[in-house]
Amino acid sequence: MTLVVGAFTMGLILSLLALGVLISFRILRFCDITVDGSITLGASATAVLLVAGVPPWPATLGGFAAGMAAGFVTGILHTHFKIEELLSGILVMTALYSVNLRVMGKSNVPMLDSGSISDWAEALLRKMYGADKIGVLGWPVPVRDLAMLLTVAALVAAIGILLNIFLRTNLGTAVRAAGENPQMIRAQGVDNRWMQVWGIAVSNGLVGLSGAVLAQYQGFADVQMGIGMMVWGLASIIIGEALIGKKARSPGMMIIGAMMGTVLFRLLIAIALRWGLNPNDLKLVTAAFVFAALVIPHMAGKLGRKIMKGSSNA
Amino acid sequence: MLEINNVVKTFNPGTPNEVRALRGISMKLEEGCFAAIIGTNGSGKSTSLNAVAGSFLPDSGTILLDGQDISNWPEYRRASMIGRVFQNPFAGTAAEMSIAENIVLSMRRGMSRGLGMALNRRVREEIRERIRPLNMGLENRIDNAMGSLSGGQRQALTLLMATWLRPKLLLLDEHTAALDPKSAAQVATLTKEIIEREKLTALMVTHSMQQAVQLPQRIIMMHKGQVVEDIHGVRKARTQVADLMNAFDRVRRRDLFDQSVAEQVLPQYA
Amino acid sequence: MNITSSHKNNYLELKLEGRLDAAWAEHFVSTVSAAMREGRHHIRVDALGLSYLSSAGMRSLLRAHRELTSVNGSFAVIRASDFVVNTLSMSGFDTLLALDEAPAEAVADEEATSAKSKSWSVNGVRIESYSQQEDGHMEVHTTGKWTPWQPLREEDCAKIALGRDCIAIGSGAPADEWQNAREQMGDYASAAGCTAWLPGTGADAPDYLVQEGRYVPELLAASGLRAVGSFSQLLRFSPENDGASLELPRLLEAVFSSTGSTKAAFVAIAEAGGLVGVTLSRSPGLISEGEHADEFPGVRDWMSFCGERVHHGRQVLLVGFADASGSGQSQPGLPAIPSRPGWKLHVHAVVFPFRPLPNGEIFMSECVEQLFAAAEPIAMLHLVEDERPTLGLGKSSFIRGACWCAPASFHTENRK
Repeated sequence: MTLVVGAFTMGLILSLLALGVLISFRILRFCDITVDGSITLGASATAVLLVAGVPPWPATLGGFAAGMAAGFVTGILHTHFKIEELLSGILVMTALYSVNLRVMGKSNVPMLDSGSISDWAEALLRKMYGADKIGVLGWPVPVRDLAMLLTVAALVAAIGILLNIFLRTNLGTAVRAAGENPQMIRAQGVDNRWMQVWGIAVSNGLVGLSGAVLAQYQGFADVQMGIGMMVWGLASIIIGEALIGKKARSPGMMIIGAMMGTVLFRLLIAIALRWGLNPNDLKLVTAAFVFAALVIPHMAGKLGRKIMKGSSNA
Repeated sequence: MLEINNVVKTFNPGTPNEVRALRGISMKLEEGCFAAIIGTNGSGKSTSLNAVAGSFLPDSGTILLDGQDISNWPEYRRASMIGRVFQNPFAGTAAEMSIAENIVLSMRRGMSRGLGMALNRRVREEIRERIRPLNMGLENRIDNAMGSLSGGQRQALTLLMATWLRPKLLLLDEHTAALDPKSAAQVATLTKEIIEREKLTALMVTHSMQQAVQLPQRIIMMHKGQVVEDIHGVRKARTQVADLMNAFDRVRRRDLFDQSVAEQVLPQYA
Repeated sequence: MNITSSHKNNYLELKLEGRLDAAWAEHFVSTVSAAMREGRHHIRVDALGLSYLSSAGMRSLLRAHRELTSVNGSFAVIRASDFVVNTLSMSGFDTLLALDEAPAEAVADEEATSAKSKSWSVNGVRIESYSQQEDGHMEVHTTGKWTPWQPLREEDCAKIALGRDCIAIGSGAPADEWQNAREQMGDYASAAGCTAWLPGTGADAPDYLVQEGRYVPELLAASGLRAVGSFSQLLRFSPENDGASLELPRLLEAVFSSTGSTKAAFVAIAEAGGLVGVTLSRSPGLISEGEHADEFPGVRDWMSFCGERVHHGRQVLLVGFADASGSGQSQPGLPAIPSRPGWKLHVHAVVFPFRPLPNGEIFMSECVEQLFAAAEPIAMLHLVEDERPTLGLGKSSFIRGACWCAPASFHTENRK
């Protein structure tokens, strides 16, 4: 059961990352690789703030803001300095590696004694049950883990709802249109470049937030923790799209899909690890999965057409 | 309403791909005038429309719209005064967003966009009311994705979106060229209806001589980045497709009349 | 329906098999037209294989009959089966039926031709010459004193009458008032009281003026040539083999040799192989003082060049004057041509839709009047030669037609 709770918590935390990737990749159609750096930035900023004694929620918000700043830079590089989207992401990501080391002062910041956003939930649970472990479906689960799960679930739900509302406002529809058809949105009097900049900023803010929560959950921030996160988020989105079906492209369904996809993906990984998958192979498996998800539908389509042709010829 | 003064644009200057797209074009469109620009391929007809829309800034020359010098305004800022329909039916709408969402974007063309909800019951009702006259049955499908519509339907909606808020100038860039003949005719009729009803000032690029003769009040003919003919008033009234063909022929013959021809024929004309 | 054509001795036989109805009538008429274009003016229709004849079919037979008789040809239905005979005679068209196969007229035509004409060949084109009036002669005068590309003044212009007695070409405008005329000056050509004039306002098609009753067209001419007199010779030419045509200087050589003079005036009606020419696209009356209208590229505003060989297959009326005497003296209105040193030539061409001419000896006035009566002129050109290497369009050429010509004497009015 610890495994399931862990996978769920991890999945929910990473679904914030997935939402960020959803905004850049699917809504803005911007292949933003800053993610790998900004998740670490969010984590390190929060860790340093917590260690310095800042209360958990403001520290978490700091992680969000740091992520946003990183995204903002990427957006400006692309829209105002005409640097290709991939390259502007790579530039910021590379720079962030040094920035993160500077922020943390070393490659790893443990925060064993610092507070976390789940403290109030933990206190509440202890007051209600008065035990270190609580039985969930007959399995004992540590209060601390359960508190984290509940807090993260509430946070993710709130963010999902806010995001859904935002995407349906006048500004939100303009952002979506700017991603899908810049020409069209310019003709409607919107400066699509700023839509893109703010979109990428919010996207990386969510990624930073994800890093901030992840650091608190893991109890440390590490300069290496961001590697491969964009692909991870992408994999989650693809699974989510498979779950909700291709046709449902309304913002709400996309958000729910991304969340469900992340949790499911995390569960699958947990199971695979349990069955003996070498953790070192994890990134390879993830990349292979994304590759397969991108290529197989295309090949299947081709194959399908070929079969159709063959049968009509016969 | 629209005044273009000696606008020059050269793409890729100083490279082997240099294109002198506009070589000093000037035209003046009165308020309520519907003009068509025709011309051979590469004559600069679409480029002049894009110059007005602000897709690029001119090398020299000025563009005035409703008395304001918009020459250095970026494209999105000009959109507050200009409605546009593109040649590609997919260019004017966002395919994955719903019909209603697309339209609501055009309902705030050039206005600030805040955090108010884009669609509410009143807005949806207004959208239904205004797309009902298209007789395409779209009023019952406003939550369907734009991408599920045909090119003709999308172009009709783009036209409606471009004129939802009355633009000071409507720009139509070969907006029926990519449609099948029946849809093209429908969209052309709709164009004329809307322009006449709203008394719009409009500039339409077209490759169809037939359309140039039937729809607008004025025909501007371009060749090699210059305005070579400007047919309006009573002369427009008697202009037929054959006259336009002749005009093109004259332009082509003029091109063939080079220095060596002049040396040959001038002594023989005495 | 199936049409098989076979050339008989002096007529063309079209064998019709199947149904001559609305669906096939047009095909039949165009077959007849194509034969007429080739100069076959006596046609017999073998109706033995005809299985059905509708009113549309009957009308097409009548049309062929009417067109052929208009060029002094003949048309008849032979070997008609009973039902064809019945249909035609019940409808009152039994004049179309012939018992005799060979048309008597064709034989008579041929005899008349050989008696009156001389003939020879040039480059695959057969030329026949008829003597029309022994002492035919043309007196040519210059009209107007404008020197091309100088600013045009009112006192340079001359009012000229263009009646049936004269032929004329030049630049001018049909207006009484100088102010009206100066904006419209353009190329004109006149013969037999019929004048085609291309307004110098950038117009595409010429306007025309035809003498009628007491009305005689008048023009204010800036420059040009006008001749009175009569033609001494008629030349008929037609290709002996497919694709052959006569270039303008070749036609003129025939004119000079048949008139026995090195100076000639001529009118021709011919099917064009291709024309090369220029037109005034803007009235020279608008040339301002000090303007160099004859310099490239400004000249393109004033003059338009055909750009390619144009009007293939159309019927062209030529009015022209030529001087091959080689005299060094320059003659106003007669510019030199590049292909023949010493030759001076000024020809205007008026282009019409194709319409066949009768064979044999024909007369200028009738033919020109019919040309103007049947259709409106399409275009007008001042013919030039384009002898540029590689790019050049060459010379105007003609496939078949008639050319009336006479020795000419040129008189120059005093110029300032």
